[in-house]
Formats: sequence, structure tokens, C-alpha cells
Amino acid sequence: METVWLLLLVFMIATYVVLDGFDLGVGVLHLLLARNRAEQKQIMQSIAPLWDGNEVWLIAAGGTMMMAFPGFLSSMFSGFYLPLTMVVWLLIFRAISIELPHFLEDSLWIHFWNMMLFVSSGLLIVILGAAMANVFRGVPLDATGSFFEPLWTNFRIGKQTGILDWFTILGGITSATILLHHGALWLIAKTDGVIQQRALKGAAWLWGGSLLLTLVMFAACYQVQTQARGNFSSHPWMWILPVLALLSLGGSLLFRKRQRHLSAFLCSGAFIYLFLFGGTAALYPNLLPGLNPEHHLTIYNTSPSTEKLATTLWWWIPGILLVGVYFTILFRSLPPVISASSTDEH
Amino acid sequence: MLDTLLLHRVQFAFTASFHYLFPQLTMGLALLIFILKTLGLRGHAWADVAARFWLKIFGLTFLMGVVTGIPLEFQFGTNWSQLVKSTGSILGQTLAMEGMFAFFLESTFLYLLIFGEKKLSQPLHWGVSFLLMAGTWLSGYFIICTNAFLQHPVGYRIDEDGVYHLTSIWALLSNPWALKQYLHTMTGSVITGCFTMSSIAAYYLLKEKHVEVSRRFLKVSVIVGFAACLIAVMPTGDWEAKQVLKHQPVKFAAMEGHFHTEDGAGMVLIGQPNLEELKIDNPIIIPHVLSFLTYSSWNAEVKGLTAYDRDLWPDNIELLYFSYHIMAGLGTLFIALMGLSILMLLKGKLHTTRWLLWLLMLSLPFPFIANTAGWFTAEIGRQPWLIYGLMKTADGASRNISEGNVLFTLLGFMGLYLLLSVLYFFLATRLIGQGPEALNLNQTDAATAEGA
Repeated sequence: METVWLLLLVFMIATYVVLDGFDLGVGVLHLLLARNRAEQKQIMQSIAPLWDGNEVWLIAAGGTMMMAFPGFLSSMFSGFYLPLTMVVWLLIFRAISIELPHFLEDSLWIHFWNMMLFVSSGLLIVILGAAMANVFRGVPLDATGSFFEPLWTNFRIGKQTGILDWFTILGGITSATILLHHGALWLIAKTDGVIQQRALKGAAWLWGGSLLLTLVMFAACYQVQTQARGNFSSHPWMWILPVLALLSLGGSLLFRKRQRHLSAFLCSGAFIYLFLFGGTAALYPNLLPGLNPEHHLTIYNTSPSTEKLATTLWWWIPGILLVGVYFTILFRSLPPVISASSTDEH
Repeated sequence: MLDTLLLHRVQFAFTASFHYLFPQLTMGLALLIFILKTLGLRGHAWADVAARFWLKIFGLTFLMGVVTGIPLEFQFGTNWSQLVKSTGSILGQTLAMEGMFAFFLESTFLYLLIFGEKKLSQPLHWGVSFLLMAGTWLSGYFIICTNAFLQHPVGYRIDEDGVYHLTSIWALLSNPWALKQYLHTMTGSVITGCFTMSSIAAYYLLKEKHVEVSRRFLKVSVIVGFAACLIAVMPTGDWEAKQVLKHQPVKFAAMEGHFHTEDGAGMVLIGQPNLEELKIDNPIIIPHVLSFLTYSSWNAEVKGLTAYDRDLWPDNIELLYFSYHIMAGLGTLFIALMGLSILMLLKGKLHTTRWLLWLLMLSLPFPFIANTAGWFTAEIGRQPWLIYGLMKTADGASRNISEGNVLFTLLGFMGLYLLLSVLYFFLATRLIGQGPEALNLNQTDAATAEGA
């Protein structure tokens, strides 16, 4: 039952990354791709109705994590106290940066919030990647399952880890490249005209970067986390996850070239899902590895009781189906393509 | 030096109190917008104009509620990790449900309500306004359920490691404490919505702007507001007080400022608690009333604070006492003000009585104060317990975070929230300055004309 909840939790986190990932990517790209207010509006209208719902996946995943693996949540959140509080501040800044510009038609006001959106989205993407790399690398857990890390030490992986080292910074850069690519594919699918053209050019570069960094990241993960090596060699079928991930990334290139833009975007989404499930498989059954293997937090020692997790499924499954219905309504209510000329309403 | 536990408490109290200024308005306005949409559906054109205007205020306030709500869920893990470690599987249930059943509903249907008016049919748009209200009210219920577990834990068992296990999700969701507290809190929220609406209507009427629309939504807000004020006292306030007396007698004695056990206890209206001499200084006390209100008998015995072990007294009795008295005192004033407004409405003079409009306009901040004071009463009164009778507050806080880190994040939140307040105030006054769109009276039908 713990495994089932692990899969559901990773599904929720991955869905958050896929959905908020494109609007975070667009938050960075909008400043690079738009040259005037109409173009900015065109870009922002492609995410304005969606960011809030996308972000709810993070909140819902947090609730699910607290319910299913309270020991994991308590260690991780208190251990990463400072970076997580800063994530909260960035989430606040980003939300108001999206919503406030259209309250006032003043160029300075709008420009300020656009800059804030660029900065906060960019930092969030990098921090999310670095955070996942931290979880993957492992932290100095003590016997009570708690830890506290400084922000950085000497950027090396050893006994004195910091939150930032070469591996987690690599994680941040990889996440930024992948999510910017994902955001560019969203814009290609949802816009037309010059924005679409510029996004196409950007996506070509970002695709190359994503492929390169993914391969580097796979190699680094294999190097950094011995658990991963063990899991993949004792269960060779797990190789299917990274292989499928790379195929999905290839698919996003193929579909983009063939101008099947929605399929290209979906392939990029599949790539992110497979990437994260691959990472989970590599760590299984650990949730948060300790530097000392005796102190690993696993799905078993952080979860309360199997029978209750089973009964919780009775409300969780209808709940997630309902969410699916809401998202279908929401995505269907959007215009299929947003043109620069159709943005005056917003 | 400051103590880390105190900083954890202050940070959560600060972020939660600031957050609650927004949802109490949106939950109240959601009901009022639904009522306006219902009137609109029945052919009152003014109501659609009013609904559109209030939806703008709602949208801005909702945004502030969303962004200030995110930190609270994080802080369970960051600041109260020991609480989460032992009870996360229980508290996480209601928090996860809030995400799944309420937040997704709200985020989807807010967009459809704001941008869907032209695309959706009238009844469908009305339905969307209902779903949005359902979302915000459900969200409130799940949060009250989470709080109710801390106030009055039910449906759990504790194993030998001190880890709490949920034994019944239904017990958690139908916690009798939650049901009563929810009704009281929601009426408080409706009061905030109504006072905000009547205050802004009064402002327009005094300025003689947007008169046709605002005198009509003033009427709606005063009628709903009067009903909510009455319900806040009787029965919901009474239920709430009685359940505090039954399950948390120390909190009850402290909030009433009742130090010594006596028969025929009087109710303290005004006075300062004196903890050195254990009495109320400069009091105005109505004899026998406390006994009557609590036990329906003029001479019943009411236990005082001294009847309980001093370790179990809340650590800030003065703040608790004043919070409760401010809430109760303002509640009484609200009934009087809304009652007067109803009287003037019946005489057909509500929108022309300038002194009353002035009072309504100036009353805007008071429901926010009353609701915050109500939460202070509930939360400070629960001390020294985090989970009443089971876990002390000191045992629930994160242990591995040093005081400087908590102080740093507290200052960060304070700075950030100051910025949010300035932005909100600036944008809300701008929206109010712009006002509702002009009402074309030719479009209004006969029903509307006489309805005003």
C-alpha cells in the first residue's frame, strides 16, 4: 500500500511539474520573446487562466504527502527550512506578478511586474531542480530522521554537504532548460504569428540543451547515488523508464518538425513524467536517502499505517477524477489558439 | 534573547491572521454575489451590474487569499514538523481534501465566472457562481475540521511511539466541534461581506455616485447582514460558548475573566484582568447573568480559573480576555447597527439617512477586527495545548531550526505582507473609485423599479 501511495504522490508532484512547469517556463520566456505590449498580452493570456489551477497541484501534493508520509514531510520541510520559505516568497511574488499588471495601464507598473515575473519564475525553476537533486543525492539525516543543512559549503559532495553543490546546481540548470523547452512548446501550440516563430527558434536551442543536460544528469545520478546503481542493476526492467524518457524527448523534436505542436508539447510532458518516475525508481524504497545508509527515510518508516492508507483511497480516487473533470472543462473553455489581435478582452 | 518557540508561534499567528483577512471577505462576498446573480437571473438588470462590480473586488481579494494561504500549509512542515511527524496522517487528510475538493473547484470556476459571462448562458453563469461559492465554503469547512482536531481531537488512536493514527475519517469530518465552529465562523464571514458591501454602498450614496445600483445592493447587504448578525449570537455563538465550557473549561473561565468559582456568577462587561490579585479591576458586572447564560439557571455554580491547575492556564490571559470581549462587544454593536438599518429600510429612508450612512461607511474595519479577535480567542485560549489535552505546543514545534532562522523568515513575511497590504489597499481603492458600470435604467424591468 505504501508503494501505491508513493506512485500516487509522485504522480501528483510530476503533474505539478508538467502543468506549472509550462507556465513557469512561459514566465521566463515572455520577457525574451515579446517586443511590445500586445505580444506580451498574447503570451500571458495563454497562461493567465491556468496558473492558479496548476499551482493547486503543489498544494494538493503537499496535503497528500502529509497524509501518506508525514515523517518524510516533517524531515524535509524543517531540514530545508530556509530554501522552502524562500520558495513560498517567490510563489507569492510570481502570483501577483501575473495578476496585477492588468489592473493599471501604466508602462512602468507593467514593466516592473514583468521583470518580477521573469525573476521569480526563473528562480523557482532553478530551485525546484536543485531541491529534487538534493532529495536524490541524500542529506545528513540523524537517527531521529532530522537534519539541517547550510545553504552551501565547498560545492562538493562529501560529509559536509550544503544545499548547493555541483550536483544540485546541475539539477537546477537541467530543470531550467527542460522547463523552458516545455514552456516554449506550450507557446508554439497556443499562439500564432511572430511569437510562435520566435518560440520555435528558442525551442530548437532548448531541445538540444535538454538532451545534453539530461544525459549529463543521468550520468551524474549514476555516479552520485549508489542506491540508484543497485536498483537499476538488480531490476534491469527499470531501464525502460530512462529509455522511454529519451524517446519522448525525441518525440517532441519529431512532432515539432512535423508541425504537430500539441503532440510535441504532450511528448515533453511525458518526458518529465518519465524522468521523475525514473528518479523515484532509482531511489525506491527510499524517499529521502541519508548520507549514512542506516538513517534512510523510506516509504515504510515515514508512513503511519497501511490499513488507513487503503481506506483513504475511497475518497482520493473520486477526488482525482473530479479534478480531471474540472481541468477538462477549464482547458476546453480556452480558445485553441491565442492571436495577438484577440487579446483586448483581458 | 527571544525564544524560538515564541517566534514559531508569532510567525504562524501573524501569517494566519493576515491571511484570514482575505478569505473572510471572499467567503462572505461569494454568498452575496450568488444572491445578486440569482436576482439577475430573475430579471433584475441592476443585480448583474452589481455582481460584475463585486466580482472585481472578489477577484483581487481572492488573489491575496490564495497567495497568503500558501505559506500556511508549508509552515506546518517547516515550523511545526514535530506536530506533522506524529499527526500528519490525520491533519493531512483534511488538508489534502481541501486541495482536491475545494481549491481545484475555486480556481477553475473563478476564471469561468470572471471571463465566462459573454460565453456562457445566463443560467450556466449563475450555476458557476454557485460552484464558486461552494468551493470557498467547502475550503472553510476543511480548514475548520483541521483546527477542530486540534481543539477537540476525535477519531484517532495513539500507538506506543506517540504516532497518531486515524481510526475514522467520518468522525474527523463530523467532529461536533467543527460543525458548531464552522457555523459561527461562516456567519462571521458573511457579516464581513455584508459590512464591506454596505460600507461601500454608503460611500457611493454619500458621494451621490452610482446611486441607482448602490442603494439596491445596500438593501441586499443590510438584510443578509442583519440575519447573519443575529445568527452569530443566537444560536451559533451560544453553541460555541457552551461547547468551550464543556470541553475547554479553563479557556472559558479565562475568556470570561472569571477567576473564582461561585454560585450565581455575574458576567463581566468591562474591566481589566489583574493576574496578581486574581480579580477584575474597574469592573462592570451584571450579576447572575453568566450562570444563567451557561446553565440556564440564575444561581448555578460556574467554575473559575483558580479551580484548575495553574500549569493549564493559557499563557496570555489578558490578550485572551480582551480578544473575547472585543469580539462579543463588536458583535453586539453590529446587531444594533444592522437593526437600525433595517428599521430605516422599512421606513424607506435607508439610502437618504446621512448619519446612518456615515456609520455604515465607517464600520468597514470592525468585522475584520471582530473575526480576528474571535480567532485569537480560539487559539490563545487553547494554550498551553497544541492538541487539546494531548500535546503541548512546545512539543509540536520543529527542533532543528535555530532562533535566528525563524526570526529572519518572520521579518521576511512581515516585509512581504506590508507590501501586499499596500498593493491591496491601492488597487481596491482604485476599483472602488472606478465603481460599477453605469446602469442603463431603460433596460431595467418593472420588477426592478418597484423592487428598490
